[in-house]
This record gives sequence, structure tokens and C-alpha cells, in this order.
Amino acid sequence: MSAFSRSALRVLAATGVSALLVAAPLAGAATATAATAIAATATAGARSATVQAVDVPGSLAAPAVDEIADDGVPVFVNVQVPVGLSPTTATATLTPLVPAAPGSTGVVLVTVRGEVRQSVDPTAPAAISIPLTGDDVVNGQVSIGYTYQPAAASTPDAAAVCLPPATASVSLSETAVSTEGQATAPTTLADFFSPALAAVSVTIPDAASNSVRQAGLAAVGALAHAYPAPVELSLTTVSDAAHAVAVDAAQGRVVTFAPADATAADAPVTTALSTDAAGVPVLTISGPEAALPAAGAALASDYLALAGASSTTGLSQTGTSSNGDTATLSPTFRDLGAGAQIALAAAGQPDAVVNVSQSAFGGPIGDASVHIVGMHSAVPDSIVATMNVYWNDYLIGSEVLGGTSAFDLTLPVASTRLTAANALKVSLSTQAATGDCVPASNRIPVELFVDNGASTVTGTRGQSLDAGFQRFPQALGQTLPVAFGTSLGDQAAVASAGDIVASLQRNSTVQLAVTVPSLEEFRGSTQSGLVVGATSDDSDALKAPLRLDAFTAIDSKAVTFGVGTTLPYAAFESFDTNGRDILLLGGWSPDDQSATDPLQVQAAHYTLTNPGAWFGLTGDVLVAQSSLTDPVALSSNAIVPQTAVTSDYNSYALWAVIVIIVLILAAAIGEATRRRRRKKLAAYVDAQLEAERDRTSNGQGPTQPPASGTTAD
Amino acid sequence: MSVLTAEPAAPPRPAPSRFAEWCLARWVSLGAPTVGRRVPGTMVVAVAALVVGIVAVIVTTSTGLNIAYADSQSHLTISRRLFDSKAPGFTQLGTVWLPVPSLILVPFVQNLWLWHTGLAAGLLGLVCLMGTACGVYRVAARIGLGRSGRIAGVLLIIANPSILYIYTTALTEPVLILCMMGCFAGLAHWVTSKRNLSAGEMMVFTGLPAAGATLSRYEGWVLVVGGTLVVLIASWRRKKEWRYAVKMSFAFAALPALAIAWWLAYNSAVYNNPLEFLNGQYSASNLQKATADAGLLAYTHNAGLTLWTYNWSVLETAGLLTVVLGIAGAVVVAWRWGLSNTALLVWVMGVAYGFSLLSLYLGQTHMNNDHSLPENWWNSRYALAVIPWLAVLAAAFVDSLSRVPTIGRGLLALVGLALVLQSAWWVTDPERSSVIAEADGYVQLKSASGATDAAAFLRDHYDGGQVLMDESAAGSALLPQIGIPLVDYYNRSTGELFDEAIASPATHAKWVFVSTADAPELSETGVADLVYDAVKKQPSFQTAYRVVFEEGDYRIYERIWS
Repeated sequence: MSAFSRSALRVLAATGVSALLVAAPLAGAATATAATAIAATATAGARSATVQAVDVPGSLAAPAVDEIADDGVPVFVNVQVPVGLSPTTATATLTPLVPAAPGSTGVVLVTVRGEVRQSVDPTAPAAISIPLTGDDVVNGQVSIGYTYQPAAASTPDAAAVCLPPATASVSLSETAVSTEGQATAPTTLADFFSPALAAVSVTIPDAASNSVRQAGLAAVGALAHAYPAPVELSLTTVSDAAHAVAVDAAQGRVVTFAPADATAADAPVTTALSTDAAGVPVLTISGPEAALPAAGAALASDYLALAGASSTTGLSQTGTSSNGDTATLSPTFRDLGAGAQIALAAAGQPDAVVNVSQSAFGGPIGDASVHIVGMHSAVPDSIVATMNVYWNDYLIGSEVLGGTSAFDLTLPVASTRLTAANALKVSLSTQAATGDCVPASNRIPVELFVDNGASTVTGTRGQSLDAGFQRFPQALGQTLPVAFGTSLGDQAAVASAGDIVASLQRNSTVQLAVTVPSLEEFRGSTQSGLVVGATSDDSDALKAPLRLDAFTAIDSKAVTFGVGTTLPYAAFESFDTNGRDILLLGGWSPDDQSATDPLQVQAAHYTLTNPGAWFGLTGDVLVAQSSLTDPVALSSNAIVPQTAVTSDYNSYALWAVIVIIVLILAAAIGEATRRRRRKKLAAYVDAQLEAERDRTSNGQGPTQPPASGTTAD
Repeated sequence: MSVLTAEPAAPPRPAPSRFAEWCLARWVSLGAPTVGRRVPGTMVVAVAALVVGIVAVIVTTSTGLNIAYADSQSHLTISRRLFDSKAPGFTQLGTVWLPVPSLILVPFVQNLWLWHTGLAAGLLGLVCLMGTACGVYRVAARIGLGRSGRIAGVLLIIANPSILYIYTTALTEPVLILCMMGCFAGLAHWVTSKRNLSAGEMMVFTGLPAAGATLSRYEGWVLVVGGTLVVLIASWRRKKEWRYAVKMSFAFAALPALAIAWWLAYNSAVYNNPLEFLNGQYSASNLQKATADAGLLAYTHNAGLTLWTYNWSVLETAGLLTVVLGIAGAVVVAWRWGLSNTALLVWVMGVAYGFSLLSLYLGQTHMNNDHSLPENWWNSRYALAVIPWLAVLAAAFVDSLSRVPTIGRGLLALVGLALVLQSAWWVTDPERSSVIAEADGYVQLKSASGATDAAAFLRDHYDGGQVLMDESAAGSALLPQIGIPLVDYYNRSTGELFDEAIASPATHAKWVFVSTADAPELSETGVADLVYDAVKKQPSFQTAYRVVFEEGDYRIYERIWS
């Protein structure tokens, strides 16, 4: 993991509670997975905010928090503060979600650096406003804690362990930190990628070659690997301002590639820092076209933090990132980002989650088993303690703790339980053997530790998911070939590819090595990958489930009546063909093909910006139309079979002909054999008769019948 | 003096027990040659099929899977409403389905419990299973196959979960296949007999079951065409006399033709349209019109996709081993018998396969499986009629393996092992059979839509007072599942009484059962709920009834005053 960036950014998920050793949530995880992770962290002690925020000048926005439950567990909102800025005020709006039971209203405490700065009544909408100073910035960020203390917890003698489940909750929105001062422009490459970044725009020249496109895609992929959402990313051509993300001087950056002319093929790659007219820091990467992709991929390198000068030479990373080394079939919990250990306590954090992405195995897996090794404290006879292990909220193992302190469990996971991104939860539950509640003053002293270095998830290479978006990114392994078709213009093609690569990369635990083969090379290969700007012919050749042609969708409610389209549309599809999984972005129009450009861009952008990002994509087809606000996800099975698809099956008729021919040949050969045999037999009998006649005519008697056996008669 | 000493006598072998002797005799009978009308071993096969069938009936009936298909419940209902209805009578047969399966089910549905549980169909299915297994066995024996071939053919039938499941339901396939196999067994006797069988014998032993087939499913109609052709050719070959050939062909086709004529006459008399079954409101073509119009019969006029779709259904109902052995057997039959009379008999057993392919190609049939376009489970059971043919072909192949010198026994052992493995594979997950997967899908669908709970509610709470219900609405074929005597219902089958009850529900029925599912094609195809359509337009209905059950698409009203 990059020491300079990801550790700082991913603290969003775990800041403030040292005991929480969950893996960094996959950015924009699928709805189900995200929900799992959020629920788990809610009980674990801290939650991260996931909703994208928008900054206004002089203010740093923070993500909203969907739910703060009245469980006494603090929720931290972390705001990265760019160097040179000093926070003055933090504001937010607190809104009741589920009201507390009458008579048991608690209080929401707002804390900074452990100090309670404000107490808020959670029963009504409230505006939060707390003063901040430069001293509140710790490690480049302001960490604001929100703790919903239930009424019961404030009673000293309450039976804390037997508290009823939290029911009341509030939400937090419009969090902003006002600042003063002037952001300091970076002076070294190591400073350039500040943890406080909100947006990075990567640009390449217009009409760039495949090498330069590959460089741009490698860069945006590397940045997506390093910067989870909500940091905005874009890849555009220089003249395409429309598709580039907005960047400002404080939290924005521009990375631009400047390929050298062909005469400088052996020149090294150089980097230079500057600022543009708006004061936005710009990193310019120059060098031979062939060397630029490796430089782009290096933007996620751990070693970038060593670049302590304003200009460098030889920036390069080949192969896959260091994380690629962990792409084995048996990663440890630590490899999966869960830290050195999981520490659970009956009186504190009762459970923890390890995120298990299939991409961590270097490819798809067909089934898995979990091996958990650890220790627990001695369990008094008066206590019943149980460790439960859940895979995507489904119980896969349970053990009553006691006797020996060490535990060592191997738990199989059925293939039907596997998803692209999985949540492994370890839970500790304790109760007095008598079943009575235990007073808070006499809490159960059971602790449980999981050795993350010795605990593993072992996968078997295979496939457990139906063809569709959720087979990605793991289907790619560690490489992502991106081929460009001809149905998209240069600007739209680059922007679309950038969005899709960023979305895929954000959900892969390994840094994908991006390549840009020609479409012909891609078609002929056996690798899984992405096609951008596919034409109708391309979709036919690759046997996409939705051919880029007019189609009719089956309305699921109406069962058989469809919604047809003969209007321009764009489709982003995921399918398998000949054993390879392919992503295909293309469009169709009855007349003007360029009409699909904005639709294809919209579909690609949706993969990055929809609420669940990549894991928010369901089914295997995403269709964008001008009449639709957002693209719609479809199952290809809900599309009336197109003529081009049904035509693929014509060849099977040939097999029927072949079977008939084989039968006719068998019959003919059999008949010929039988005739030959009959003929031979007839000749033999004729010869016998002839011989008989000869003997008779010569005055000899008839031949004696054979002693045994049969004769033909 | 010489002393003669006798060699010590070998210890006498213990005499085999009578049971062992009996078993040995049965075993020998399975390979014995046929004698006239007698085919040794038939009873052994019948008993084996009966035992396996009883197990299947117990499994499916106890779980309710036997009435998962809506059509299965409809067939049970048709049979019972012939005598248990507000308007009983022969015309209750309707025109949607051919009548024989419903008619021969009548004795079994006399008992309300047998009808309610679907066990009535299971009992009939036992007879059909025994008949089918015996038919395969007798055909195999008639065409000269040895014990191993005969046993293989039978095992491929009675160890097939698709067959076993369907034979516990009231669907029409078991009766069709029984009749077809009866016809083929009769033809096999005639073709292979050294004695010239009379036209009367032909009529009884082949024409009668063929007539049963024609009044079971429309595959039977093609059977008559194919069978007549075989009889014509074989008769000509036998005597080289056209008169004889025509006479025997007529003897074969007369009863089936009569049956078909009767069906046309029935349709004409009851519906004023002899082709009501073909183009009427409830005909298959009308019911699937919406599907066809939407372009979802993708295999129509596409030979490749037709073969792809149907063959996958065959594979997923018959099993890989049956298909592979069957294809190998086809080559063996072609090579060994060419187009001889024996071969013609085997080839004509494939009429159901040809008919189904043609029907799909012409868009007359709606079928889907997990490899079709689009993917779905629908009517995979249409592939079942092909299985006996594949079993006979497989038997021919196995017989040829047994004749291979030296390694013949080893090859047979391999086939046996493969059969065991296939059966074990099926047992671990019966839904690998497409017909069972489809059945399970219906169970889940009914559960999710509220149909299962609605039926249970009415069954548990009905205390008399008549029920108004459109059982012909999509998803409402639930009458056996509900289990109330049919005479208590006002439904479509009661004709004018139904119309009167719809016009004034409160004066006719204490209970009103409706499906609120609404889609344009339901109305178009005539399967929208007529009761719901009517009562939702009647303001007085809401004041006379209260909702006592509502879940998913189903709602049950109870009259406020009793």
C-alpha cells in the first residue's frame, strides 16, 4: 500500500478507533457489500462517510453520513485540509431519522480531538456549528466525531451489556469546514499528490496514438487505485474541456502527457511541475511515447514519495503494482487489508469485517474456504462466549469459546455464496451463563484476537457468477486490455475509456496493467478486456448479447410486451464469449452514428458516478438513451432476440444434416456389407451344389453331412 | 487280489433355495426369446417399474410437487368436474386439451382426497409407467435384442427422474407415451411375426392404442401418419400385394382416424367450429399469440435455433447418457438393419421428435429452457415423448456391445457404471432435470405471488356458502390445491351460472377469489380474471364484501352477511 496516499485516504474508513482493523472498504462498493460494510462498522466503532461532497470556495466539504445510531459508538467525519489552509468553523445539519422511544431521548455529542464541542438534541433537525483552529488539524485532517448517546447509557447502573438494540438514529448532511489562508502549491513530485485532493484531471494530446492513450489510461487507473471515491478523476484530450473534471488550486491537480517527437525515442521520461492560469498545479510528463505508459502506471507507486524534487527523470513502473504480488489464491487477512490483527472485546467492539474481493485472488474463484487462527482470553464458567463467522451476512461457522485459548477453524464457503466483493465478519458474543443481564459496572472481560498474518481465505480458481458486470474486475486478472472501435470520436472515446478504467480499478485490489491493443489484435486474443466505441459489426463478431442494432426490450411486468427502440442508443455490455469475459461499449443509430457519442460517454460515466459505482451495475447490459435521465440496467435475457443473434444458430442445422448423412452412410455400408456377405454365401452354396452335381454325375454318392454344426438351408 | 477303491465323492452342492430358483427363472426370462404374443420377462419389468413408481409417487405427492404445474391441476379439475360441478357433463372436457387423459383419470378422482392431493394422477401414472417400461422392453425383445439391451432400455426409462416426476402428475404426457408405446409394441409384434397377423389383430393391438394417442396429444396424430406408412411398406414387402397392403394400413389407421373425426365432430357440436381446438379462444395458438407477436418464439423459421432449443430440452430431460447411447444406437440400427421393416419400426418411434421440431420451427409451440433465447423454463416436458425412442436405440447399441468378443462384458459394465453415475448425479440435485426445475420454479412463483397462501386460506376457512372464482385466469388453476368440492364453485366452466354470479355476486357466493394481476396480454389471450374485472366495477360489491385475505396478486373476499 502506498505510504503517502492510500493510507492517508483510507483512514476515512477507520480513523479514530485503533481497535478497528477492517480492510479499507472498496470504494463505491456494490450496494449489498457497501451495506454490509457500513452495518459492520456501525457496530464496530466507526463509520466512514461515502456520499460525494462538493466544495465551495473557502470551504471544504465532507461526505454526508446516512445514519448515526443511538449506540454510543462515535462516527468520525474526516476532512483533509490542504497545506496552507487553516480551518475556522465546521458546520453540518443533523436530521432525526428514527425517533427515540418516548422518555429515552439521548444526546448527540460533537467532538474534536476528544473535546466535546457541542451537544445536540437529536429529536429535531439541528444546525451544528463548531469553531475550529489550526491546532485541530492532525496529520493533515480535521476529525469530527459524532456520538449518539442513548438515554440508557447515561444511567450509571444500566445493564449496558443487555441494552436493547439501537433503534433511534439521525443523519448528517451538509458538513463543511470553512478555511482561511492560501493553499500552498506543491514543490516536489512527492507533494503533488496531496491527501487533500478532491479532483485530478489527466489529459493527453488530441488524436493521440495508442501508446499515449495507454499512458493516459494507465495514469487514470493508477490514480483510481490510489484515490478512492469521492476523489473525482477524468481522462480527456487536451481540447476536451467538457468531459474534464473541475479542478481548483487548493484541491485539484492536472496531469498531462507530452510525448516527445520520434527523434527522441531513447530520451528518458521527465516530469515537471507548474501551475496553470487558474493556479492549479500541473504535472507534465514528457518522454518517448513508448515510455509514457510505464510513467503513467508509476503514479500509484509507493516510491513516488521519494521524489523530492520539482522535476524528475526516469519515472516508470512496469508489470503490476506491489499489490500484484499478493494476488495469490490464499491471501492472508493482512493481505486483504485487515491489518495485523482483529481485536474483539465483549465490552467494546464485538465484531469486525474483512473485505474479500475476488480481485485479490488475481482472478475469479469458484469456491473458497476461510481459515481463522487466533486466541481468546480465558472464559469464566459464569460466561458463555461464542465466536460466529459470517460470509456476506450468512453464518458459515460458529464456535463456543472455552477450554483452550487458541482456536483454529477452517470454514468452507459455498460457491453460491460468493460475490465479486464479499464481507467476512467475525463476531464475538457473550452472555452470563444464567442468562441474566450483566451490569455495566461488571462487564464481561472476554477478548478475542484473530491473527491476520496466519488467517487466510483460500480460493479455488473457477467461476461462480453468471456472465455480467459482476464478473469484473476479477475476470481481468491483473491486466486490462482496452481496444478502441470506430463508432466513437477521439474525445468521447478517450473520456469513456478513462471513466470505465477508473471505475474498474477502484474496485480491484490489484493495480491493473493497462494495455491498448488494436481491435483486431483484441478480437484474436483470448484475454478478457474492454472494447470502447464498438460498432454493430464488432458486436456481431464478439457475439455480444445485445447486438448494436434496433431491439425490443421485454417489460418484465408485462411479461411479453416490450418497449422497443429504433432511436439512437448506447449500450455497455458485459458478456462471455469463447471463455473470455468482455466489456463492450458501443452505440447504434438508424442514421447518424455520431448521435451516439454523448450517449456512450453518459453510459461510461455512469459506471463511475452512479451511487454504487461499478458494483451498482446489475445485469449485463446498460442502455443509455436521450429520453432517459440515467442509463438503465437490463438483463440481456429481457431483450427480444435480435435477428443477428438468432442467425448465429444457423450453423446448428448443419449438424442435423451431418447426423442424417452419417446414418445414411451407416445404412449404406451395412447394406453393402450384407449384400457382399449374401453374395459370398450364394457363391459358396452354388459351388457346393456344383460340386455335388459333379460328384453325382461322376457316379459318386452324396457327401456326408458334417458331424456337427449347422448348414445353410 | 486287487482292491477297488472308489474316489472320494465331492461334497454335494447345496440345492438352491426356491427363492433363488425363482429369481434365476426371472433373470432367464429377461433374455428369453419371444413366443407368439408372449414376451417373457414382461411381468418382471412391470413389477420393477411399479416399485420405482411408487417411490416416486410418495416423494412428489408428499411434497406437493406433483401439482406444481398449473396444467396438472387443470387436468385434475377437468376430470372431476365431469361429475362434480354445477353444470356436470361430457362437455366439461372442453377443447383446450384432448380428452383421453382426462377421461381415464375419472375413476381415480372420485375420491376428494385423492383429487386434492393429486395422488389420483399418481395412481394412473403408475399404470402408465409400467406400460411404458413394458412397451420399451417388448419392442426391444421383438426386434431381437438380448437381455443386456432390454434391461438397459428399461433402466433408461425407470431411472429417469424426468419420467418419474411427470408420471406422478396429471399432465398428458404419461398417457400419450403409454399409448404410443402400446402401438409400437403392437407394430413390433406384427413386423417381426412369422405368422401373418389378421387385420383385426392389427386394429386391436396397434390401432386401438394409436387411437388413444390421437386423443391424448397431437403427437399422436403424426404417429398415425408414420405408423400407417410403416404398415403400408411392410405389408407390401411381405406379400407384394397392394390389396393386402391397403387393407392392413386401413386396419391400422381406421380407429385413430375415427377418433380424430370424433374430436372434430365434438368441437363442431359444442363450439360450432370443428377447428376450435386449433384456432379458438383457448387454443394454444391464441394463448401464445402475444408471445409470438412479441418475437419471443425466436426459433420460428430458424432451423438451427429450433434444433438448439429442442435438443437442449431433450438432453436436460433424457440425460446425457441416454442421448449419447441413443445416438450411437441410431448408427447401429442404421448399419445393422438399414431400412428393413425392423428398422422402420425403430425409426417411426421418432415421430414425436420430428413433430416437435416441426412444430417449433413453424412457431406452433412455445418452449424455453436455460439455453434458449430468451432463457426461461417453459414446456421442457415436450421432449419427454422422445425418451422411449432413445431408450430403444440405446438398447440396440448396448446389445451390439454385448456381442463384441472378449471385451463385451467389460463394455457392458462401463455402461452400467455410467448409468449409476448419471442416476447419482440426478439424485444429488433432481433439478438438473429441466421438468423438475420448471416444477420447482412454479412452486416458488406460486409462493411469491401469494397463490399458495391464498389456496391454503380458502381451504382452511371455507365454511360453505359457494365460491365465485375464475379458475381459468392466469395463475388461478388452484382448485385441487384448494380442495373444496367443485360443485361449490361458480367458475367459467359453469357457463351461464358463472355469468349470473358475476353479475350479482352477493346473491350467489359467500366467497370471492380473485387474481389482481393485470397485464394487457392477459386480456388479449383471454386469461385475465373475469371476476376481478367485473367486481372492481361494481360499487355495491365493496359494501357487500370485505377483504379477508390479500397477498401478492391474490385477494379473497367474504360476504359481510352470511
